[in-house]
Amino acid sequence: MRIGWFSRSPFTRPFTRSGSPPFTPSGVEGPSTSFGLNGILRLVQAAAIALALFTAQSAGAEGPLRHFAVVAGNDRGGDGTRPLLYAKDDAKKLHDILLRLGGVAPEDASLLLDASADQLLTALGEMERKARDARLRGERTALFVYFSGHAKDGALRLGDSQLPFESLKSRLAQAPADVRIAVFDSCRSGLLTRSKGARKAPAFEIESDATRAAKGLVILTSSASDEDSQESDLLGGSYFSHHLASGLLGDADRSGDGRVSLSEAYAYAYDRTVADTAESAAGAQHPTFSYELAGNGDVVLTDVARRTEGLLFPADAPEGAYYLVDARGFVAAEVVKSAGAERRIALSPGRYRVKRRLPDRLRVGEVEVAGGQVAVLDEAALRDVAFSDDPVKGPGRSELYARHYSLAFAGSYQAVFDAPTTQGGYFPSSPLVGLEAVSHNFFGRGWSAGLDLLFGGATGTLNYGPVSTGYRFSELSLGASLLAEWPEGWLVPFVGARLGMNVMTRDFPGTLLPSQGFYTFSPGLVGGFKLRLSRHWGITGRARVHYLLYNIDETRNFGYLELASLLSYEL
Amino acid sequence: MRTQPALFLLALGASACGGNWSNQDLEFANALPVRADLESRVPGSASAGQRLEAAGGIQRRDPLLGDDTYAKTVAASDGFNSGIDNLLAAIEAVRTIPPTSRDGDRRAWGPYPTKDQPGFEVRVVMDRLDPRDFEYRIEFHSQAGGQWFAVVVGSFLADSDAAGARKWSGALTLLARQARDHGLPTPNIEAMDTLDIAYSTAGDPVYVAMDTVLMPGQVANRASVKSWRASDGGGQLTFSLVDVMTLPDLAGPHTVTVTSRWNASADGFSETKVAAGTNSGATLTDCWNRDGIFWSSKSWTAAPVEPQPPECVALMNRPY
Repeated sequence: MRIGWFSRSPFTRPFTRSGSPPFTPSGVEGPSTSFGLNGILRLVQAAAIALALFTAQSAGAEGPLRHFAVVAGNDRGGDGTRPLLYAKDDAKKLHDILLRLGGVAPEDASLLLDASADQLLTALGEMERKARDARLRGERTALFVYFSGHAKDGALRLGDSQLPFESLKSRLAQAPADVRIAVFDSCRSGLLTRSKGARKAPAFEIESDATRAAKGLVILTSSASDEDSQESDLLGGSYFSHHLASGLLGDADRSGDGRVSLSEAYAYAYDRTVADTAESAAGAQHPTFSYELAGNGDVVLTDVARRTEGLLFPADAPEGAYYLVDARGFVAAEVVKSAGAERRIALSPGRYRVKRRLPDRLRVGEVEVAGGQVAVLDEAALRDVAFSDDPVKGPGRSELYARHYSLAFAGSYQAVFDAPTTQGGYFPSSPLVGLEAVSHNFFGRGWSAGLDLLFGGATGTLNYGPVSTGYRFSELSLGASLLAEWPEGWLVPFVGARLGMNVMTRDFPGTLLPSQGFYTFSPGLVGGFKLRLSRHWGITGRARVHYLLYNIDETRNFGYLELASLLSYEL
Repeated sequence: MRTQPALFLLALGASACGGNWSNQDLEFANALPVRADLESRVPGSASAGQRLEAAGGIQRRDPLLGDDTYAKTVAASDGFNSGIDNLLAAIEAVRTIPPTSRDGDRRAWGPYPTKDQPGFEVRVVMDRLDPRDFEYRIEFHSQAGGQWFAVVVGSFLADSDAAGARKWSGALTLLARQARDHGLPTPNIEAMDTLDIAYSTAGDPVYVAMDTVLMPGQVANRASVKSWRASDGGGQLTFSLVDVMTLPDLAGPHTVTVTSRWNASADGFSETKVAAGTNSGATLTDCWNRDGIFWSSKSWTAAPVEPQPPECVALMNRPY
């Protein structure tokens, strides 16, 4: 399994959505941010990666490489797991990077979201077939497999289905591609590499000066065999995938050649994942890798220089860690800039907030990355803000998707589809007021339950046969709703179903006629938008359409539309 | 599972609804007469007295204290209203209970066991003959078995020009003798054969005629009372008295017909005419107000010195 956690300045937030208790790893498979045994191991591992890079770059390739990719993300892991928040987002992010920067043609990539194990194997089989055909045509091939999601008891968990590690490794080992790179961002995924230990990472693409093309399998995992993989709300993904993506966008290009190799990306993701998670209650998370590659060469995962769009940090920009926050409020990339060095990050087109943390304040600004253009960061355009005014902080997805409650005061108008209205009908249209309580995420992430009580009334005239008289109509409506909400933005859409119990009366003046009473269960649909005014307050526009059965002495099928506005307070 | 309650509620929602009175039921209820619509309101009578007292008006005068035409009018009005009360009380009870069964143009209440007639059950059946024409029956039958027999039958016909509730012409009959023939006890009305009430509430004034047919051996074979009640508070009551009325200076008692007429200010007059016997045609005219009779004229004596008061003349010239 993978757990949600957030730690590390500047995004430190004291909450977790994980169903697992805080976990402290007992293993020593990787370094921590402190010196000691873990620090020594970290240095040894980094040295091994650097040696692998040196060796690979000394060899050459035999020809161009055709890339295939199977990218899968699944938030659900079946029994015994809690839904993840960002596994699918991670997969989409990696898929986008591979298409934009990794040289993967769209028709050679398969993106699977919430797919089953069978669907994953089917997609893998399709790419294997394409790779086999390409090899028959004399092309060199590389297959990239990425999975983000749950893993437990030696198997990937894809919803209710499972894919054992051993069978997947065996499948990848026999895949008909010259180079196979598999990345698993799952809890305890280090089981996939444990038998092989840490080895040098091969190259994704053989460089021109290589003399012999690399062939074989490389497996990267996000955590060791006894560790959980953690998610971050403000990163909007898992630590490992986030840093892997940041590295692939260009920040991992330590050689400065405009290309990010596998070893560069891994070393970058490793360092930052361990550093980010070191202070978490779950403990530091240590990525691992397995290297089983014959031949020489460096595998380039992304070619940042090939893209003409992105963000350039000029050499005279201040050194430090920059965070690029996308429109959704998530950190799309991080850049660690050295003094006097130019950095370039291949962001996709869009508007980003730039945030640099100083000891006593933040430097914040905005930058627009246009398609086909490289934007240049202007330090002078950044402004100082206090930590308390951090414009990109807010309730994280963990908080939004935690079970919590809201109360609302509602005012509505109910229009009954009744005919003939000239005779006063059965149920007149009327205004109603009431209260509503919602338990958000009661049935799971984004699935909420609501109870509401409305009361209202109207006056009318009954012209029925020889009867012609005024009346006063009253209605009491008690309802229960099941709602699907999308709470991540300032505008929260929701749809759902509601079952109401409507009790209606019609009273006539004096003793002229007996009072009428009617009750019915009324099923309906509900939808609307909630506008967040602040952390707690919001206003909502809502519409309901209900079916209303009348059957005292004849069966009549009515409906009503209810338009409401609500003022809500979220606890 | 968490979905089970939701499914249960959904299934419940598709099937569970109910109520008491439908719009069509209201038509049936509207066709039933109510006492307040039909009662007579002679100033000083029980019903009118309650209204006037409530409005700070005159106090009710006790008709037993006098034997004049005004007292006889008040007594006749109270008797008339008592008959209306007794007959319509059962019918009004129907208006408080939703129909037990509905079948097209028929509504039925009951059967219910009866408290005053042990061993019998009662039901009310109403039929809508057309949108403005209704019939109803109050029926009894022995719980030991036996056919349903009608004790009250009624009919209502809506006035096509009238708007509003209970604007009808109607009639209902209490079949007292028939009830006794089926073994149903009829306490307090043992002397009654039938009681017929015909009414029209469609116009102004409301008109009600009550005709009682008595069993053989009574002092008379029938008694009739006719009532008009105008929306402005005025009204008229016409009734007969058999061998109970004494008239000044005339040997009696007499059988007379009495026509009393009044306005909202409790000014009134009564015209008492001997209907049979040697003094047939003799007429006593009284003018009265809230203080009593203040002017009289007897056809068998000389005319009074004082002229008839103008308000009394106005009433005499306002026919119903």
